[in-house]
Amino acid sequence: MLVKEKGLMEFTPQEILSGLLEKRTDVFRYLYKAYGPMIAGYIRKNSGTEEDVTEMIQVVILELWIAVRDGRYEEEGKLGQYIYQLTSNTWRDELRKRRNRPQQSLSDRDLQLEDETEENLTSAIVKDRYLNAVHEAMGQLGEVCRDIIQMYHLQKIRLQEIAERLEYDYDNLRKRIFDCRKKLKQLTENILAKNSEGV
Amino acid sequence: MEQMEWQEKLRALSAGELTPDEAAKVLREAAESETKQAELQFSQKLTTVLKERDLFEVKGIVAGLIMEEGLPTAEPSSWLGKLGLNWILGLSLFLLLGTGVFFIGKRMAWWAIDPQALAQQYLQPMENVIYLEDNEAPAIEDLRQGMAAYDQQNYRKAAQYLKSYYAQVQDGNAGLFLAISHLMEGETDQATPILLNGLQRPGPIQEASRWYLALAYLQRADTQAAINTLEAIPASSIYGPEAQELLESLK
Repeated sequence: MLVKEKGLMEFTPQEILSGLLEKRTDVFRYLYKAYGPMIAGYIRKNSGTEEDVTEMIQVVILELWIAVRDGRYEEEGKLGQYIYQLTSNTWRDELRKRRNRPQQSLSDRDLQLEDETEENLTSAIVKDRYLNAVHEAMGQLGEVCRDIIQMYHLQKIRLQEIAERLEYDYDNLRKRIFDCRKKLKQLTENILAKNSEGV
Repeated sequence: MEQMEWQEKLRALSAGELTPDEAAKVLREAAESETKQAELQFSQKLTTVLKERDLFEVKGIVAGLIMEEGLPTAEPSSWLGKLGLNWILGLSLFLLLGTGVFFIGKRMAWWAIDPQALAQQYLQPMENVIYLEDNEAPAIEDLRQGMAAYDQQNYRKAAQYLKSYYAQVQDGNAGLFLAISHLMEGETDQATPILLNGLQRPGPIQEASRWYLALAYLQRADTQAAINTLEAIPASSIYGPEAQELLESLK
């Protein structure tokens, strides 16, 4: 079954899920065009401002992406219903929080998601020297190693699939992952040592 | 070989792929060896950092889409509503044509606007405000050379060095100057993703990124995305007056 929307590129539900995992802009654009009006309509109807609409579209799409990434969303041909539910739940929670803290708007909170906000993660990284060093070491790692680690650690892509994508022999890829991780760890330790000297 | 298998177990644990029993077994195994414990700690930290980088990237994509596409307008609530809207649109179009769209357009100077020329007119390099003394970041030499080239208005060379520095340190300030160097060279495609990332950073970087992003869209002749971006610049911002002026030229 294809998910159709007049004037938009067509994707199968499976393509949408894999496109989200691969962070494909065309898939995000499709979701934005196909479901953005529904989210916007819901927020406007329920006393949201234009600023709320902007923020809530981002929150809902991010929530959907996290649900797909963490395997919490299972495709049953009801993506529209899922997004609608996500919108109504998130907006209801937001309104409830505002009643408790009436002076704080959504933009003040800057897109806080339930348990994995960028703000929380960023502040954790800033506070934690080790995390900070890993972050810095990732920046120093070569692009290929960075991609491999990202795919292997986070995206739950099977090793066989990564090997096919990167045109590596399966055993070589395993060794490469091992080497990249080792290099990253070494870089992290160097940064930590250097920072300790500076203290 | 054994180390690889241990690594795979740690990855599965961090990714939440193990059953509670399997996870407990891995944790017990880690507790028995200092090396394994250290590997486990590294794996958990790495997962947090990767998640943060991932989330940051997705936020950039979605924010960029909203900028490019604009906010969705209200949908007609029913089939009859849609039909009615189509009639109204058709009728409006007919009336517009009938009353001389050419003269209206001419008066509003629709086709006198050249977005790329406007981008050229408004694009000025930002003053170098990067403080290099006491900065011991890795690859600092790249930053030093990049900013020296930037000050000499050699933007190609500046982009080359700043790109290398930014790839290693992901310093938001350096990213901004890198994006501006690309814009000065007319390399809009390279500048845009960096500026979209800049929108996620608080304070002056975000403010400047928004202004230069609007200019990047103009360079790409994407007038609607430029308008949406300019509208998001508050009047109180240091770019506020210029943004208002540019908006008026575009509307």
